[in-house]
Amino acid sequence: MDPSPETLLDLHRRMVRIRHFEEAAGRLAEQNRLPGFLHLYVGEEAVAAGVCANLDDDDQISSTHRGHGHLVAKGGDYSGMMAELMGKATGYCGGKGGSMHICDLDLGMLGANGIVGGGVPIAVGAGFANKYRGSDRVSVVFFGDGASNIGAFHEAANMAAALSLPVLFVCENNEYGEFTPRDRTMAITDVVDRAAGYGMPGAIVDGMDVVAVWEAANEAVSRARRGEGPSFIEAKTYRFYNHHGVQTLGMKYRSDDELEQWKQRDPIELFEDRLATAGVLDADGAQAAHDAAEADIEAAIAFAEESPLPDPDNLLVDVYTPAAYSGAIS
Amino acid sequence: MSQAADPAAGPAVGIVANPLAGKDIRRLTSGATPISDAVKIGAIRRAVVGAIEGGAERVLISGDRARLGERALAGWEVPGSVEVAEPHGWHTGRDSQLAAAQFRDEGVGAIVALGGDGTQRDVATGWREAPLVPLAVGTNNVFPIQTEATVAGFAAGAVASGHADAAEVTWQAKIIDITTEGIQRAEMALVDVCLVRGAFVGARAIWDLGSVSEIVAAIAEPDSVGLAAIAAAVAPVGRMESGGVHVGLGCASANARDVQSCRHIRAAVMPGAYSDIDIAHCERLRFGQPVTLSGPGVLTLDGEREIVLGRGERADATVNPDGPYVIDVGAAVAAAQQRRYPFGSAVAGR
Repeated sequence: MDPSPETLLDLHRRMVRIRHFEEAAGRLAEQNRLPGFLHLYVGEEAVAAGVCANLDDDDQISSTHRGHGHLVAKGGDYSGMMAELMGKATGYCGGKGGSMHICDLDLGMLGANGIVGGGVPIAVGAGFANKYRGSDRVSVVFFGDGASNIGAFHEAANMAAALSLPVLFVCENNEYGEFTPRDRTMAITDVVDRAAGYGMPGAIVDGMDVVAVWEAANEAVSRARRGEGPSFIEAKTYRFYNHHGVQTLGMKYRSDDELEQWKQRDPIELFEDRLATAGVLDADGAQAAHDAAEADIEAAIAFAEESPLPDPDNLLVDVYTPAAYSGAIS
Repeated sequence: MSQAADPAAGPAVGIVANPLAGKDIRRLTSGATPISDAVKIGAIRRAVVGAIEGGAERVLISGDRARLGERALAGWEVPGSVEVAEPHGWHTGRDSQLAAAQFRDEGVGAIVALGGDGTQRDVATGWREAPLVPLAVGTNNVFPIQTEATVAGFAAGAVASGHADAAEVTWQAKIIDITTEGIQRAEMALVDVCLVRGAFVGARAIWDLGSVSEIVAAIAEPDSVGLAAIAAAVAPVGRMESGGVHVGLGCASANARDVQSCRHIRAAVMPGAYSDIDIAHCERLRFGQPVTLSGPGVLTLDGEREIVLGRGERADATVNPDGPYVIDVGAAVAAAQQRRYPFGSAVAGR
């Protein structure tokens, strides 16, 4: 039942690459070297890594405002990401999208999304197209507990189940919608309780245990590829930093004790302990993965900082489709 | 909640509800029933009604992150003294273990535990000889019983209050104790302990039977579902029978002591799934007779991966007779009704 040793090392590498990207982005933001909002994924790495390790490049994901981790886990390029965060022309979206709009269609990343819940119908639409075309692609939507209260989620979940689409719903339940605890906005504790209401199977997994996430996603992705329709996974997880940025805003919406308790279950440290016990990766091997990620991120930061800002002449490029921009549609 | 046992406070029933029961990966692997919070909240409420009707003057409900107890009591004129304990905050089965221990310390006379085999194990881990109504509200239910929460609560209330005599309406369940050098805390199972290949607990439930190499079962009844069903197919052991059974799987493995004795079976290894199994050997176990399970591998307790054994690490699994006192719901209700409402007790003029 365990993933192969190769998969275990791959899961570790994906998590480490997310962590180093996010820590670097956080540092840069603190130093005012990054413009705009920044929603960091630190603490939640096991979810993106455990799910995306089950996907091929042409499987699709749609993401959230906290989307860096999803793209890194899907194989995203550090340099293009960091340049995008800095608003540079070499970034994934030419520097015009920023943190919340990164996409990479070559990797099936259909986009981060600044609209809470906005990614859900996008992934379901991709699922519809995949089924219509008879492909065996699977689409995955990552969304938060708060997004599950949004109308778009409910419509899309209903459609995915009604049409038996190959879609995996991954709810990253980190217990807070921005600064509001879940129990102030929902009468249920487990978002997965909603899955049965739409007629799709759902399960809870420990979102701090990458092997648990991998196992559940493996089953759900297999179901989708076999044509058995959508599944729902609720990963219980936690963000170690604030809703946006690194520092709190002085709002005590969650306690230090609670944060500390979750940090005791740091998904990377937990996994490294278990990899060592299993004889798959020792401390030196783990450190080598961290060093490699750190070297890559330093190179990406240098690339991004040396890159030019977008040319003002391109202000309207990518705003409309080329056809509409040229007036061809009228 | 009061911290010390207070007999003067009157007979008490404890309700342990596990917010995680009935929600794991088996809903994806084999179509196991999803158990929503709403199901548990309704069952808590009905068990409270029953417990008070059965004679409890206090009902204590385990606290948890999902606030099942608070939600059960919300907007309800509760028909007696009902409290929800402070949650222990582990957000795991350990919460149920601590709640059961706390209820014992507070003088609770009987527990109603809502969950599957895993939840019942947690209660027994916290309070080994708990007077218990194990109510099936989980994924796999070998140990707990299917009955209505109202009468489950009543039976617990009847035992706690003495309206039903515990000695007459309970039977003592078996327990499988796990001892390893590395584990300080008591670990146990109520149904089965297995050794599976691997090094990770992962999503805890097991569904790939190819990874199971050994099973020690205290209960292996022909209508069991789960790993116990494998043992039941070759050597059934009833829950009230003495001892247990040890089964080795995989005729091509080191377990195959004698090829002639290998048997091929199919069994319901989890809700909604049958698997082909090769039985390499099988032996009956006496109470107190340890079976040594050697790593590397993972020990499952009542079907959930719990304890990772490294290479060279070993654990002993021993079936013992001194588990929870299981309350026979029908017998407890009958005894209490006869004692409380004898012939000639009709109220004149009603």
